[in-house]
Amino acid sequence: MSNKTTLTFYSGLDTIGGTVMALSYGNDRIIMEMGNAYDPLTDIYNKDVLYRKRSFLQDALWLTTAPKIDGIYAKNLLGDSELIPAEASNINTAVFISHLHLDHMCNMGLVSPLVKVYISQKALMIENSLDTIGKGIISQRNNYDFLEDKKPVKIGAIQVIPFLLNDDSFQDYSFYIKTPDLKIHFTGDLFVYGKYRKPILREIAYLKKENIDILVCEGTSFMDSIKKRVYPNPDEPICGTLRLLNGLYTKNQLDKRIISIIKAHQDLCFINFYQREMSDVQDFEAYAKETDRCLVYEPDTAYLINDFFHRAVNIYLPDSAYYLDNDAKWLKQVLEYNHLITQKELKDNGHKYLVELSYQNTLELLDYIDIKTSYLHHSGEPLGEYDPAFKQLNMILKKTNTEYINLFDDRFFAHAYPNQIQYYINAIDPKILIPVHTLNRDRFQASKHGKRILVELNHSYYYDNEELLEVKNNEH
Amino acid sequence: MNTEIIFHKGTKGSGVVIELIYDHARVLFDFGAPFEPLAQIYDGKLNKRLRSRVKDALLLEQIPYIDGVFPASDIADIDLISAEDSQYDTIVLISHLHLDHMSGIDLIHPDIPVYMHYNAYKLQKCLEEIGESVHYRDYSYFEYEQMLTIGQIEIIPFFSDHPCYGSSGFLIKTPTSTVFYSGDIRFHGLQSKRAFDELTKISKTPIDLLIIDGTTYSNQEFTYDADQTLLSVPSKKLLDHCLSENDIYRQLKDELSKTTALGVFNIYHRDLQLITALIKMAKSTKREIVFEPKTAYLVHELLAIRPKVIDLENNTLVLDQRSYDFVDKQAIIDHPEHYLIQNSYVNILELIDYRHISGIYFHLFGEPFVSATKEYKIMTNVIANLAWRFVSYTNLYAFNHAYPNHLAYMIAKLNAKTVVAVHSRSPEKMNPVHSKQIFPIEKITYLLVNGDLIEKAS
Repeated sequence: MSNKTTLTFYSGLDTIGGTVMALSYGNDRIIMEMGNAYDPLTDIYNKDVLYRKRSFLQDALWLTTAPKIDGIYAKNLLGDSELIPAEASNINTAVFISHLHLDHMCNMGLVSPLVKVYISQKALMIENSLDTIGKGIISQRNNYDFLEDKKPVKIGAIQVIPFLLNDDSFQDYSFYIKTPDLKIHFTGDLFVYGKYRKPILREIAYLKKENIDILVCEGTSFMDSIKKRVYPNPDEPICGTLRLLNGLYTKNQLDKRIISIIKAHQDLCFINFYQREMSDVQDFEAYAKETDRCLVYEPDTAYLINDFFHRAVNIYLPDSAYYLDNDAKWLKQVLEYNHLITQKELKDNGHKYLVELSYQNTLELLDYIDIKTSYLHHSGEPLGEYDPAFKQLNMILKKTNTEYINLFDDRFFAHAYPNQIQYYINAIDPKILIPVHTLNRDRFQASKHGKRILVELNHSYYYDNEELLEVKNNEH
Repeated sequence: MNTEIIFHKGTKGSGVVIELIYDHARVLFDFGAPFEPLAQIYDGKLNKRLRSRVKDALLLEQIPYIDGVFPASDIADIDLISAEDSQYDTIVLISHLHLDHMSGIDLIHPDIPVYMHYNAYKLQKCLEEIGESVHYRDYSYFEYEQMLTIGQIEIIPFFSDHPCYGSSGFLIKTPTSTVFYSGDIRFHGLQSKRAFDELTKISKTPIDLLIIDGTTYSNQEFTYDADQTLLSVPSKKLLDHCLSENDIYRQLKDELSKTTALGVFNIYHRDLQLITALIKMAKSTKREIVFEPKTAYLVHELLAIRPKVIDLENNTLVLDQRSYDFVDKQAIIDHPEHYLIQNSYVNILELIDYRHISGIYFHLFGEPFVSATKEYKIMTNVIANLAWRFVSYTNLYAFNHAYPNHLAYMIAKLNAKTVVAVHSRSPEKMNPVHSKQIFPIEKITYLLVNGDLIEKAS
């Protein structure tokens, strides 16, 4: 198949996240993303079981949390695995990472330094800060190449054009790929709200004009719990439109809602958001300004902000060995560089503050049992009832008489809604649609001139005459 | 003057904490949190707090609110009398080192003596060494049948046949009443004879109130498929379908003798009696028993045996090479039929290194204990993916706790005036034989009068 581009999916077809797709032409190959779908119910590393640093890759391959791909892992980490090590491979490979969510990149550190990994420079900056505070991924490499908006990357005969969709925070990219016989687009995570909208519309127009062959599209929101927010009647067909249906919030409406909630509360408000999202930090700073409150961060987040924005913030010190019994340089730096707010101050003047409270420090609420407190849940773990930690969180909130407020109110979801995804597909009108990163591939509909193909894991395909055909064993 | 008694915890499940007062003397017996594997607060993600550990344990109901037990500096703004301001001379007795009986002992004011059997004391010291217990305070110890006194209260500890090293029951006498607290007990263990003999000794003292381990009354802890009526008939007999401890070792020996697969066992390593038996059983199958470093340390320090050890990738305990025989993993892989190796859940990834050989995994009451937990499912999935045989025992609690007919025998033999079943979700299923069963309400102060519990006027 040396004169045809082949496409192989190793994981992430029927899971939220963890999509790993290889695209090869001749001796050139690109791999889209290196994440793993996280499930709190089955994650072996969730509690007492610690990573084995030396055997991490072998364990991950056996546990199927890392993809079995020849030629991308270092020999010394593969142990007795039958995979061909990177050192012995004649394939010219590069890995591309769309953004810094773990389900897209948690295994990128396992890739041999001999293989190029492309990621946003800002994302790597945050990952390096996370690594310093002990929350980074397992990694054996520190050489990365950086993506730039629309600047093509050539991996032999394969050309990858990264589209920058959000310049905030760690940046989000999608990838348009051209080979001698194929034009294919990989969405990464698809967002259309707020500042994503314009770049996505530009992307649609570009791809439409390009008349692409294959669209590999994520479909997180097709899951029941999100779909029903758009279509309460399960039998209602999904219609392609960018409009928000059924009273769902725009980002602007969400911002206003959050500000009005904070204004309506005269008590000490705790917030829980996803620590690595520097764009959330900017949002919360805007909310704090609008409501005359000061934001106070946990030391970990403060370190990320110090590194990313190069400025000091307010911090508090949770009562935990992680902070109190820790002589790490980063923590000393945080304590020296930032402004420490005492617990007494937070208690006496609660109405003046918005305090970050990640799940790991939830027991801090026990110190505020005698004052009125609210818990504003944004995007921090645990995200919902599917996570056993959510039950724990509720138990502690109840015990401490803390009011729980879901800021999203089930009316805001970051990923594009089913009708928006369908609009995107219809507008681009690819010849082949490959749904990934979803629990409901069957809910995707092909566009007017295209076909929807439900590919199988570890099977290879090639494109010929507007068809996606499976590579037979003897054709490899 | 009357003896007063308060059941703080344990009348509807595990986590026994009982307070007995006479005049200005007070005894607390056992000091653990309820064992609730499906609702553990510390789920591995939530940070344990350092300075607020006492306060958090109180607020999260890990320990009961008892005046005069905790340091003033630790109880912060909680409405409790501190140990410094207590009107009582207090001691705490620990029946054994299973967490539901002792998880809160390090929170007690350092000036309040916390007593345990000498073997348990030695085990506690070792647990501190291997990082399973933080050293916050000192402990005191006793020997069996050696009397302890606090004020006018006398305590005589007795041997209890429970797998945890240094397990005890307590005969507690005040000038007005005598109470016997069984701790956790069983009569089908390897030391069954000694356990029954202890009853004879204890029965020489007339007992007003017997507080007995009723774990097996609950269907959630023990199921019995044969004639249920037999369970409440007092007898020393081991009923059909009830396994003895020895039966389990016989089955293990049988399984290991007929296979060339690697034998792997998962235990709770505070249960030194089980370890002793496994060492013996392995020898009879001509297999080398190999321990993880932390357990090997316990074996070496407490059983005075030079154990075989396997190194682990995540091992945090450095052992003195001169006192241990290290076994190479490759030697085990080359000759699995010669070995019986330990694997704790925390080290389950080590099993991946044995993926190319066959194995048989004996879940011998180690963590994860309960099949409904996520961890148990992960454990069984790993074993299934290795294509190994998984052997477990459904009546987990019956390995450690007496069968109901044995409890009925104990109740009859001790012939106390009244009896309270603790450590059980179904105390009402107890046969009190000739004694009167009482169902005390937790946190109520009772006067102990002629065996009866009379609510004290506030």
